[in-house]
Amino acid sequence: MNKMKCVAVSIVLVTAFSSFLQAQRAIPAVRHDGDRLSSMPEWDSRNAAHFMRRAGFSAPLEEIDQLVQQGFLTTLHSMLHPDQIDDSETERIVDEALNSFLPLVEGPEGAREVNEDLLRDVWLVRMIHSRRQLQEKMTYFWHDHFATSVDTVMDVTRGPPERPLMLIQNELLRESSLGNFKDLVHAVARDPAMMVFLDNVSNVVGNPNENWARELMELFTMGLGNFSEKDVQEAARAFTGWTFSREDGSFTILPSLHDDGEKTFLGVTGNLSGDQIIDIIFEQPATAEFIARKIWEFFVYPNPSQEVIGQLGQVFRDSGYEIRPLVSAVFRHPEFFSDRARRALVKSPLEYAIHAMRELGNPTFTFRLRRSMELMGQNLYSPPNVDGYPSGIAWLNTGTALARFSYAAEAFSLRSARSPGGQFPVLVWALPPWLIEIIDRHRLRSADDFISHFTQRLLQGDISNDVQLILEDYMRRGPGGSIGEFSIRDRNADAKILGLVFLLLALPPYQMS
Amino acid sequence: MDRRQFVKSFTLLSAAGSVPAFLKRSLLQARAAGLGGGSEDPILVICECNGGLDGLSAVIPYRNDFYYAQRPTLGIGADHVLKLDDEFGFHPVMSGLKSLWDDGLVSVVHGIGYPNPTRSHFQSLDVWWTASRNDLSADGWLARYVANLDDPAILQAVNIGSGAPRALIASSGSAPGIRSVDTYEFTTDPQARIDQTARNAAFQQVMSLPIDNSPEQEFAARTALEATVSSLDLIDGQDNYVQTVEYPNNPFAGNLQTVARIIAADLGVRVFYATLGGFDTHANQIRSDNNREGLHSRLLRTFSDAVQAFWQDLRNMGRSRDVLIMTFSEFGRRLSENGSLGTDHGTANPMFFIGEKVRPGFLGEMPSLAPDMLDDVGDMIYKIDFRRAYASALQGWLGADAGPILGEEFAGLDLFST
Repeated sequence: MNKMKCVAVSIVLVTAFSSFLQAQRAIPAVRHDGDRLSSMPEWDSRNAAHFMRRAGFSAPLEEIDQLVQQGFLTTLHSMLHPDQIDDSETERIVDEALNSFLPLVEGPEGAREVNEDLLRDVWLVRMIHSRRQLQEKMTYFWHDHFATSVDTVMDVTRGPPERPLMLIQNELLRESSLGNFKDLVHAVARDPAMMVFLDNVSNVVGNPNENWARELMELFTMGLGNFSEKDVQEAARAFTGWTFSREDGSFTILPSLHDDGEKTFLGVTGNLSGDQIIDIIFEQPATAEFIARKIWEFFVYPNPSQEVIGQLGQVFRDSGYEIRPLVSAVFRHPEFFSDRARRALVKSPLEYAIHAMRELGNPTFTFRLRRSMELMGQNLYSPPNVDGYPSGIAWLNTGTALARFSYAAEAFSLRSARSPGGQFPVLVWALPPWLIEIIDRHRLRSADDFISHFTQRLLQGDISNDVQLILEDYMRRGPGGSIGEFSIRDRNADAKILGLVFLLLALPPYQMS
Repeated sequence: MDRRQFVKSFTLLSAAGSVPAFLKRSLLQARAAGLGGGSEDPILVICECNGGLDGLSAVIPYRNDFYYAQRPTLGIGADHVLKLDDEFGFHPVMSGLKSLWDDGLVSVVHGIGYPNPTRSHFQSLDVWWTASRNDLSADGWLARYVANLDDPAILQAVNIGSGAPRALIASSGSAPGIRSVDTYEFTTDPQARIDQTARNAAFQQVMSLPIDNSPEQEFAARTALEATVSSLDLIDGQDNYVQTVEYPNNPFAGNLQTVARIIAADLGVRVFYATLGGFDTHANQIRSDNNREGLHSRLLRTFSDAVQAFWQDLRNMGRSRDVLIMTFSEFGRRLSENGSLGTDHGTANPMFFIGEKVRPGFLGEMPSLAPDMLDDVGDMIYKIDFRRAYASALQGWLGADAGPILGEEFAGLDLFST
């Protein structure tokens, strides 16, 4: 797809956004659903912000204040029940984008291929705008878990309607994000994108292809050490002949390509079907703790104790592999709000970019979001391999650090401004409207006003005295290096304010969620 | 603010002494001291063929009946292979590597692997990355090499790309990553020019503060400073590179050209790491109408042509004698093909070493393909532990003491001519 078209996509999405700060979220008060609580955190703005960084893609100060008023239980309950949240505005924007732009483009040799940049933009829009933040975070978790790449899966259904297989998978993951994990594995086994990605479409009797069978056990359910090479080979036989209709993506098993012979899998012998293989996997204890650990490390901190994982694995298994109670137990665990958990996770590029946007209440920048994320090392819908995206310190190196700083300098610069009320993002050399809105709303005037406000908004005040002093010095330092007083009327005041935002976004603690 | 001005605003600060001590080992000092850069320093370029390269399709045993029996559709006919000797030949698409072979620059080591092999991509990569069969949480072997260096360069080992392989990651941090020379820069807001000096000063000051409660944050701060300085060094050194070779138009070839550009900039980098992915060809490894084309041969061609262009570039730069290329893949693929015009995960594989000092030809013994000589899954049994190849690269090429890095003494291979 050509570049102009990509930009056009983003521009229309941009103009369709309503202002973040105007969209005050009134989450209806709900009563606690009777779960036995493991702990009640001190629900202040620091903890609420911690919760929103993990359970969603962070939130602006104004929303954090509201959540503090609302209380932990109501907030958690609401996040865990996305269906009860009206998110029609996000849906409208997504539908408009998908209908206004070609989800498909002409590929080599006239093939219809998915317009992957549109898919990326649309998902980024969801993450930025959705009021169902936990659902979107979990959708991303499952995309990372059942990692499938659009670089391999460019196929679309013939239709009508013509639909990208990756979009079909994304919708499945969103719908099932807090549902039943065993059901989800059965559904992913039938998912066209997955069947293409791990070659199950060409897994045939007599000459099985092991790709899907191996990753099903190694990465998606039990983990290494719980099955043998023989189990991989036998499971592969059970999934022979599984494929889907190229017309509408519906699942089918081709009897002539399916191996009907006797198989022995994890000690069970019989003419086992693919579904029986999955059922046998879930009878083993390994999956519950494998998934509990992965969810814990995604939401809380790396290398949890076996005690924690044992507890959560038990919750997961007892519920019959329901995801919602597991996730709920993670957030209610005393360790979730512990010092060990706070800023313990290196932000992925996705989190780095979107947290900053949401915290600044500035949803108007998307043009370069995709490209910036790619330079930071992450391309949505293109995990590097079937094990998903990297994590932790692997996200940080000199090159990706430069990309983060460049994003921090460019995304929230004077350049991202647009004419107020205009239909198109004209690049106006002035303070961007989102920043003017923050300044007006919070009556920011002095250097200290700005430092304390943005430190609170972006880092909940978590900076050292030394950093504080450096920022104070910075705000007062004039173009020639002289020290004066900051005034909002100064010629360089705009640059100073954005420079302050840049410095905070570059700080080491800001690299951590 | 243009790049040069930006450089200046940082340089002023270093003169003012606000840069932490470790950054004073910056390039210029290193050059002045005659360390780093310089044509006497050996450079190791590692090419990871990710996904499981099919060694039997790259170095084809074209006289072996077992090979043709187990590869009825994938087997490449003897007439087509680029013959290297009476037994083996390169895949027909590997003319680039063949020309380097003909120049006496290539050593092919047969049957590389390790005991009790795993067929998991991720576990096997961990084995190769940590150089350990058991402690897969260890630091990467190249990170251990870097940790043992007493070297003034800021960039000692560099990954080409935006991520970093575990080989370059230690618990204390990961190696620098350079995706391309052109994007390895600190872009700024042009409208904030008036404030740039103050902004850069504050940036350096906050990144220079000690951090004691978070190894990740400490690493982030160190990385921020290293990124800033190395980016400026690289910009400064770019005039040294003059393009004389047309590289193929694909990301892997582009990555090797990036290596050439960084070598030209004389930053004192000892190890480069480049990855070519996509070798996990369970299906459509070959095209149904022509078994010499398909996903796998496309990758072999990409690899072989890129290496040829890179080598020519090094020759033109007068730096080819400084470089050794070492290639590996996490495992080979199964001898018997599957029903999807592909192959599943296997075990032993050849490694390629390319350089002016390697002893050209074959090294080691090809594992037997006879059915009774395969393991119980039907895979080849390795002959040479991959850590012997690492020991050669570390000791024989880089001049490092391999024992402490690999945690065990491995006899090096007879890889280099004396």
